[in-house]
Amino acid sequence: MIPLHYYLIVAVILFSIGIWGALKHTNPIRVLISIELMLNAVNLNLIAFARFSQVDMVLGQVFAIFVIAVAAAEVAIGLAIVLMIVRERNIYDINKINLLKG
Amino acid sequence: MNWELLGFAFLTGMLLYSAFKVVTTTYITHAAIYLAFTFVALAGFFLMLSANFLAAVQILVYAGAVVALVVFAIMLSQRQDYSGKPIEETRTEKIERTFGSQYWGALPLVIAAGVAAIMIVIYRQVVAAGYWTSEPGPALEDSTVAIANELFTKYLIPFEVVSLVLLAAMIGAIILTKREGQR
Repeated sequence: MIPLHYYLIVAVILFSIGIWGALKHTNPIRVLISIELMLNAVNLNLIAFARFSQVDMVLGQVFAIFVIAVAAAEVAIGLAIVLMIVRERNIYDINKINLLKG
Repeated sequence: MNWELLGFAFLTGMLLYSAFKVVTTTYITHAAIYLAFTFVALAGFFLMLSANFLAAVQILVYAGAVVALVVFAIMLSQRQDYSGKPIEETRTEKIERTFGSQYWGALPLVIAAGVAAIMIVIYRQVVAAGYWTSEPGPALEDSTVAIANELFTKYLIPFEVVSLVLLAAMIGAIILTKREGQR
């Protein structure tokens, strides 16, 4: 059996690739894709901890299902907002979305 | 020959390479395809952790629905990106474009590495605390049944709340993407 910390290290690397992408890009769709990577790293963590738990081997998987559901809602709303901004204001750069800036 | 370790190494390579390409590739459509590969590799990890149901959900929801949604959004919103012409650039420019960013230079990479370092330090403490076994017990007989039993008894109210969240997200997405004047 692969030890727990192998999975944790893979999840950490995946999570930091997600952070890197979310900060690096200015295209809103790529930022959303990077956030998906981060959420998936969290899921991998949850399931690995659940598998190696001595107390409850199901709780982590149930929590991962909730994370997946919320992530699906998040990406649907996020992409809808991106589409609306592109259509109404023709902006492709998140640094130029400054409607709420005082 | 340790087949399990070999499979783990293969999945790790596939996962991290495709995740890296998601962030660094030039064309956003390519990023979407690499994203699908990332999700499939993660489903492989879930299978290795004997979470069969979640592996299936991962393929259906992420590699199926989310990637299709992202591709649709790219198709509807991006201006260029379909030409497929290779970009001509020198080696330094390529490294700069891959690891730097438009506004902040290499700062995002530094922040990501810092977060990874902090998390590895925390994980060392967590694993050393000994709440998790180094050698896990036998896997769940049937993870689908176990999840269903928990989900529809102990976690019934969160489950219903999540269904409401999904409904609200669906209606919100439809209303947001409707054109002005159709309301």
